[in-house]
Amino acid sequence: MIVIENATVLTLNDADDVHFGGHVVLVDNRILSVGDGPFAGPVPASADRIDATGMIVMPGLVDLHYHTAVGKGLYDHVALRESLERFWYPSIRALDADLAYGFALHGYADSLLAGVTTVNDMYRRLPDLARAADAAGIRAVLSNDVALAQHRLDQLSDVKEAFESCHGSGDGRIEVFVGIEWLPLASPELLQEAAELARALDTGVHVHLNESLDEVETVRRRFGARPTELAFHAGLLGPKTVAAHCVWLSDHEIDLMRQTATSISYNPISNAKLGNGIARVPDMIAAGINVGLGHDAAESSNTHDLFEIMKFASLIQRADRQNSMLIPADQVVRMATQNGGRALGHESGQLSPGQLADVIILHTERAMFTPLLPGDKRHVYSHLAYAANSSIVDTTIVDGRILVRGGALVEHDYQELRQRANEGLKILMKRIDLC
Amino acid sequence: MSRIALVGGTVMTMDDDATVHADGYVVIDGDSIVEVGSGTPALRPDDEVVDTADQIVMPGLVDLHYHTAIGKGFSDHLPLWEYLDTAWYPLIRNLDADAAYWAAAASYLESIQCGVTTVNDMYRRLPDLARAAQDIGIRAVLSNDVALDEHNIDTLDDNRAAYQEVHGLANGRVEVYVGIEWLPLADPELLQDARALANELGTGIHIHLNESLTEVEDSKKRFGKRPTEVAYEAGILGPDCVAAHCVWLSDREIALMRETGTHISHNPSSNAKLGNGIARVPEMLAAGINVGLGHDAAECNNSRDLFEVMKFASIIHRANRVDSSLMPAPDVVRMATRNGSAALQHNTGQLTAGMKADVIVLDTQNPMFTPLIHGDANHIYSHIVYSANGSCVNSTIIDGSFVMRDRKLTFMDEKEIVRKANEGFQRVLKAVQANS
Repeated sequence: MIVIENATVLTLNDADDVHFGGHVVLVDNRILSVGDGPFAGPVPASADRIDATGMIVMPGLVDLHYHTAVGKGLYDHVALRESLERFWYPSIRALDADLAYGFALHGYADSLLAGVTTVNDMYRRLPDLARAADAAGIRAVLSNDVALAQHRLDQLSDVKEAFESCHGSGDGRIEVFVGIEWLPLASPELLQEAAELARALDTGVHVHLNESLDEVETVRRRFGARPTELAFHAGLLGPKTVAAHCVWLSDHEIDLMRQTATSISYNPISNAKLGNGIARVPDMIAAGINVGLGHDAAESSNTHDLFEIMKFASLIQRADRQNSMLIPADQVVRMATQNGGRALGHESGQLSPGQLADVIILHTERAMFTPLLPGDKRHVYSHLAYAANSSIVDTTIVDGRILVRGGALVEHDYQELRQRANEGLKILMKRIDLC
Repeated sequence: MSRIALVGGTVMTMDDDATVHADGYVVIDGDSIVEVGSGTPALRPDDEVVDTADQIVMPGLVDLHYHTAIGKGFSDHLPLWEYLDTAWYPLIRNLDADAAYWAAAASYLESIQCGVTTVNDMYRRLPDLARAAQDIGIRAVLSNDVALDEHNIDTLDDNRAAYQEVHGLANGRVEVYVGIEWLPLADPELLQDARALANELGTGIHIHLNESLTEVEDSKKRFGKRPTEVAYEAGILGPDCVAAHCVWLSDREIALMRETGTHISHNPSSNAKLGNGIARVPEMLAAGINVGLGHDAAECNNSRDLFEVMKFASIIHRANRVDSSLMPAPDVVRMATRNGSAALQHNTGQLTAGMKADVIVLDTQNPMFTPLIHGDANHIYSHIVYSANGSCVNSTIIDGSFVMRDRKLTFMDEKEIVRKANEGFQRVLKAVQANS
């Protein structure tokens, strides 16, 4: 049992309850109790008691569009397709088991340190990623980079194998979805087969969709339809599908997303840095679409910090539309928690009894949280969305296991992971002849 | 006082040749940098040697448009004008000396923690701000919120009195400029008087200019001209003038900025959050205008982290124009260092002998700087702009003194500042409510 007390408890439940001086109690991998004041039930002597005076307790963040990444800061000023062809594809073709494990473990550790408890990770070598997720303790939905065979990435048979060997591992923390790289490397037939496989395995789909104008133009030229229309006709959309990016959606595409209850991962920093543009998020939200947040990949957004992404997610819409009322703070915090949890079909993203014990604890006695009016929840939301970054994360708990405490990894030495990631990049760059 | 020798780090000099020393040193004597180079410096027996292995040594950041802020996190969703009328003006009209001092201390605290060594701070009660700057150790250019008398903010007389009282304080770290709130609260005569005062005192000007469409429309309606044209005709613009925001500049306004050698502070996150828009920075740079970066105010940003502002400054233009080649990382780091310093005509913003010793030390053994190709300048610029936030700052040196070392403030107590700033905010908020 873990008993967290004296906290500002931000539940993000439907009633938007916030308990000042409240408690959260975790038993095994579930939340037992959330409420005002101290916990009234019996507490065994063996319980881990955390005094969270001056701290916020809230649901762990869900990074809804994620790629394990090997490098960053190498191709910062090229457009999407060029960055894929010059670095991303060569790098993921050159992976081996050790490299994939080391990069994934470093990325997951970085995310945990930043308060992220769930990642929706599309990459290759899923068994190695699953080992890394198990070792890190993070909740991970893994999917392959599936493309037509000529592109020498993954195929649906790889997905099937990964599903059989990894789905449900790590006490159920690790799942396998069907992944689709993107439509320029796919065909309508491949999309149909992917949809059929997802149905046969009773699992979800993770697809890049409508990320760049270049993609929209390529797909229209080759298939005579816009990306979302193609995915819709292939049966790929639906409530178990996460479509990433969705930058240049037409009204008809927004309608198809809504009709099929597809969830969208909004990745504003990646979209900006790659020069892809600004997604029509206010229109998606108005249509009732479930929108979560993702960092995408360290190569394209250069950070795993979802606090930074929350701020950018809100501000870029206001800049673009010259409207300071768009995407208020509480809405963007919900996108990074509840909406992400819902998109993946998880019982996470809010602090309520019975939900998964994915919880983070944040410092507030810092300049970032100054001034802070006592008992004012709007002030708490504002600071989380606009003033904070992930350096405020003190504790990260996933599935009832404390993985970060005092801002440091509990089960790993970060410096070892960092050195391994640095060494890995050197090996990989030699292998793909970039050095 | 013994000299300080920072040895063993990667030194990003930001000098004219963009020199980077992968294993370099910086030697500080008194308030100045005396040596910068590769390898090991010639040390004297009483030099204080600081090992900066696995760290980055670079010029401190210059926050070119800054307001001390007493509050943040309410009125987050109002457009500029309404936000000023409902939050900003009521708060700054109800400041007391203690509240202003602790608000400034809390503001400067966060800035120092984020590697900012110079702030260009327009606010009220300058003597209280000057005391805070002196006590905490930051370099501060202060200016008043000057507006027409009817608005009950500051007057040019206040600005003159502040200049006489605190300009040149703290070994010259504190300066006073003439400040102009913004054109909707001014008229051409006030602008002319502001210029006359600046010339008389031999000091600079800090002005909000062309921040919102509502400002442009107001200026056109009241004066028949766009904001920069009004400022130009009143003589406000010039190489001693920092114009903040400049979001909706026409081509002619850009030409006036260039012609007069006026410096622009680009404040992308504030402009975004307030729904003001996206400034035409690529055109400003193409015109040869000196553009620095500012966070603006915690009320409308809500962070004072210039690392975050650097990232915004690069990627918001790429999003807006669908062009990933814009605003490369080294240019953005220059904006946050050299350009800001040039705008304020300071001897800072680069690590070269003879410059004032405003230096920051960044930790790299963290996720933000991983992976890192050792000594690769472009990789470091990239991580500084796109990956890092202010939490990577290990130490901040201003005017030759460690004002923060190993993330611990030297001259003031962080917890006391946070507590007193909270008390001051609640007191001023009560005063606002009582007086409204």
